[in-house]
Amino acid sequence: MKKSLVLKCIIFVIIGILVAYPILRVFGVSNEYSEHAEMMINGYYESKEDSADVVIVGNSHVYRYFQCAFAWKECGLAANSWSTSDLPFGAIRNVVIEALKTQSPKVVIIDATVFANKKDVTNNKIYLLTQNMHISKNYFEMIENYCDYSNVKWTDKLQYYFPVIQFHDRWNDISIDDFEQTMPSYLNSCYQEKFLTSVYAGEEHVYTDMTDPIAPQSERALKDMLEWCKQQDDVEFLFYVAPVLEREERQGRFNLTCDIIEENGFKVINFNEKEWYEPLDLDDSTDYQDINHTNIKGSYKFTKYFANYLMEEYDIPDRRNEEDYASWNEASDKYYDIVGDYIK
Amino acid sequence: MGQCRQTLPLTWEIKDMTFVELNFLIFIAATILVFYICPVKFRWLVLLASSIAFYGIAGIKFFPFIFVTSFSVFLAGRGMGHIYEKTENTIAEGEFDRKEKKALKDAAKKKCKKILVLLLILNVGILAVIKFTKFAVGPLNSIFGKFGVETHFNAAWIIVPLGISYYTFSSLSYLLDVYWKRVSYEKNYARFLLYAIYFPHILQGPIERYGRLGQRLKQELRFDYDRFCKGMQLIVWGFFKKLVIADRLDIFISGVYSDYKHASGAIFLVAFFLDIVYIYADFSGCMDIARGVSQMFGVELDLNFDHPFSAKSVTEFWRKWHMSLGGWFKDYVYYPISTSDLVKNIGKFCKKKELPDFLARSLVTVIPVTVTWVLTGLWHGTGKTYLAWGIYYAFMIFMSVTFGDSMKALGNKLKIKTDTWSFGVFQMVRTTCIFGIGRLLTRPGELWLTKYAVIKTFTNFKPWTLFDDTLYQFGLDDKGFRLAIVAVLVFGLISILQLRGVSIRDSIGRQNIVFRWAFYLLAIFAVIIFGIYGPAYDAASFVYMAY
Repeated sequence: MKKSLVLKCIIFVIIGILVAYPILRVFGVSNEYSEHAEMMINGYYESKEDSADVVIVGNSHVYRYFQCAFAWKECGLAANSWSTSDLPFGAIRNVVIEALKTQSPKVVIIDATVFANKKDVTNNKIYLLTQNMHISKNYFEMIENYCDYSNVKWTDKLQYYFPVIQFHDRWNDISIDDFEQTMPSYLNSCYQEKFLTSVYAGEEHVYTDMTDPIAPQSERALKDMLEWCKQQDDVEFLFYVAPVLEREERQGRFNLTCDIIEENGFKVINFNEKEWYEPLDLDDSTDYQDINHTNIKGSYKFTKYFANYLMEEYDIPDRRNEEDYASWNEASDKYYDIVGDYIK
Repeated sequence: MGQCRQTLPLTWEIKDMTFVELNFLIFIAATILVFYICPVKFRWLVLLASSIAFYGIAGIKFFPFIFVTSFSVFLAGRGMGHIYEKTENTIAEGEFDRKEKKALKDAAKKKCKKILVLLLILNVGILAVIKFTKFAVGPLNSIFGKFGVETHFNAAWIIVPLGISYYTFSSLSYLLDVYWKRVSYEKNYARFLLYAIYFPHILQGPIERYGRLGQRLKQELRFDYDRFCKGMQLIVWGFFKKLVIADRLDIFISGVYSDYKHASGAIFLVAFFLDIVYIYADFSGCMDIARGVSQMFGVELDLNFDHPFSAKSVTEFWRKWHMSLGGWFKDYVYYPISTSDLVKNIGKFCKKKELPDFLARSLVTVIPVTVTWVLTGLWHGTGKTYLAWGIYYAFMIFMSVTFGDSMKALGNKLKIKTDTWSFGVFQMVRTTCIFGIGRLLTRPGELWLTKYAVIKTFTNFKPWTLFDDTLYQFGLDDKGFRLAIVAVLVFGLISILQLRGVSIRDSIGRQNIVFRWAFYLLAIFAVIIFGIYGPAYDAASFVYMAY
C-alpha cells in the first residue's frame, strides 16, 4: 500500500471527525432536560479561576440545598458548586478532579448521598456530564470509571463516548435551543418555579441510628473515592448528607455511608442527626419541596447555617468587600431579585 | 426470510455478530488492519483465522457442527477425487476398449455415489434435525407422558449453529460438483474450511460455489485502492438500506401485525406494500455489506440481487432475487429431478399416450417444481407458513408453465400489445404483487393472521384511516414516515439509474475530491443520524431531571 494512500485515509478520517464532532454533539439529552446541567457546569467553568474558597460537588442534594448566592450574600463565603441531577457515583471522583482544575479551594465538600444507593444501576444522567464537561484525559477516565462501576463492558461503552449512538433518534426534535445555553448561570435551582413555591407537608423528620446496606458497586466507588482523597495533600475534604424527610430505610443507607467515611478518617456531617438537624431550624411543614429536597425557604436556612459553619471551621474570610469579587455581588443581586420575596 | 436481524432494539453483547452490530464493525476494522499488514502469501490465513474467530465469538459450541460438516465433505471430496484420478490413471496406463473404459468409469462413479449418498444423509440429516427437532419436542413429551415418564424436552435446548443453512449448502454444492466432475477436489483442508466459513458470507450468503469463491480465495489478495473504496461505499449503502429504510419500515409493519385488531384494511394494504420494500432493503442491504466487506479484502462475492422488481414474471423474478439460492436449487435439485428416470418415464408416457402439449408439460413439471419450491420454502424457515409459501410458489410456477402459452395466445386474440412500456410496467407490478402475496403468507407469523389481514382488507377497508393519523399509531410517527418515504425514493431512484446502466459508484469516483469526500461524509452521517440502531433513547429516563 502506498504511503500517500495511507495519508489520504488518515486525512479523510481526521476531517470526518472534525466535521462530525460539532454536528453529532447536538445529539444528546434534549435541552428541556439538560439545560440545568448545562447552566451549572458552564457556570462553574466560567467562574474566575481560583476564586472559590469552597467547592461543593454532588447531585440535587447540592443544588436544592446549598445556594452559593445565599452563602455569599449572607456570610461572604466564596463557594462554587458543581452539581447535576442524579450525579452517578461512578463519575463523582472525576467530577471532583475536573472541579479542582480551575479552583483551588480550602475545602472540597462532597455530597455523600451519591453513594447511598440501594441498587447499582446504570444511570443515564452520566450524559449530563459527558455533554457539558470539557474534553480531556479526565473526561475519558470518567467514562471508563463510570462503565467500570456500572458493569458496562465492551462496545456498550461506546454509547458514552459517542452519545449519538443513543440520541440519534432525536433527529426529529432537534431545535435551536439544542445549540445554545438557554439559562443564565446565576439561576441555579430557581430555574423551576416549584422550587420557589412548592411546599411539602406530608411528613415529619425522623431520627434513626439503624443502618441499611448500600449496593456493592456504590460501596466500592465510595471506598475508592476515599482512597483517592487520602492521596490529596493540598486540599481538605468534608462529606455531608443533606437533611431529608425520608423514611428510615434510606436514612439507614445514609448512616452506613457516613460510617464508612468516618472509618476512613474523614469528617462527615449527617444533617439528619439530631445535633445537626435542630440547629438548622427547618420547619418540616413549610421548608421542603418534597420528601427528598428543601424548597427555597429550607435551602436558605440550610445554606446560611452551613456557610457560617464552614467559615468558622475552616477559617475562611468574608470576601464581600474585596475588589476581585465585585462580580459575585452582581450575580447574587440578580439571584436575590428572583428569590427575595420567597425568603422573607 | 433472510433478515439480518429480526428484533429491535439492537443488543450489544459481544456474542451478537450480525452485520448491524458495532462488534462487527470493530471486528472488520481489526481484521483489515492485520490482513494488509501481513505478507500477501499469508493473507488467506488471516481470513481463515478471522473466520474461525468470528465463528468462535458467535459461540464455541457451534464449532463441532462446522468442523463435522467441513471435514466430512472435505474427506469425501478427496476420496471421490482419488477414485476418479485412480480410474483415469488406470485407463491411461492400460489398453482398454470403449466398453471396458465405460465399465471402469461406471464402477468409479458407483463408488463415488456411495460416498456422496452417505455424506448427503449425514449433512442434510444434521440440517434437518436442527431445523425440525423443535416440532418433535411436544409430541415426544406427550409420548413419554403416556408411559408415565415425565419429560421436559425443550426446543430452546437445540443448538442452531450460525449460518448452518449457508455453509451446509455451500459444502454440498462442492461435494456434488466434485461428484459430477465440475470442479477438481481440494487437497488442502484449511483452504476448504476457508471457503466454507469465509465470514462475510456465513451470515447471509450468498451461497457461493467452490468453483468461484474457492478459486478467488486462492488468488493473490493484493490491496487495490479503488476496490477498497468501492467496498466501503457498498457497506455504507448497505447500512443505509438496512438501518434507515428496512428497520424503520419494520417498526410499522411489526406494529400493524402485532396490533392487528386496530388496523383497518387500508393500513394492512400499506403494510403489505411496505413489507415488500422492507424485505428487499433488508436483505439486499445485508448483501451489500457482505459484498462490500469482501471487496475490501480483494475477494468478490457473487451478486445476489439484480433488480428483482424489474422482473416481468415469477420465474424471472427468482432469477434476480436471492440468485445464489435460486441457482443452487436449480442446479442441485430441479435439474437432477428433471433429468431423473422417474420424470423421463413420465415424459415417455405422455408421448406414448399422445397427451396434449400443455398437459404433458404439466405432468413433467409438477414433481421437480413442487419438490424444489417446497424445499426452498423449508430452507427459509420451518413451520406451516413456510410450507404454504413453498406450495404457493410451486403452484404459481406450475400455472405459468402450464398455461403460459395459452395466456399468450389469448393476449394475441384480444390484441393486447405486449411490447409497450405500459404492459411492461403492468407485468412488473403483477410480479411484485405475486411476491407480496408470498410474503403475506410468512410475515404475519401465523396463517390465521394472514387470513385475517386479507379479509379485513376486503371487508373493512376504511380509506380515511390513512389520513386521520391512525397510520401513525403503529410505532412509526409522521416524521418517521416522511423520512422513510424520502429514503425509499432515494433507494428507488438509485435502483432505476443502476437499471439503466449508470454506475453511481463510478460516477462519484470521477468527481473532485472535495465533492467526493463531502458526499461520503454526508452518506455516513445520514446512516448515523437516521439509522435505527443502538439502545433506544428514552426521554422518560431524564424526566427526573426536573428535581
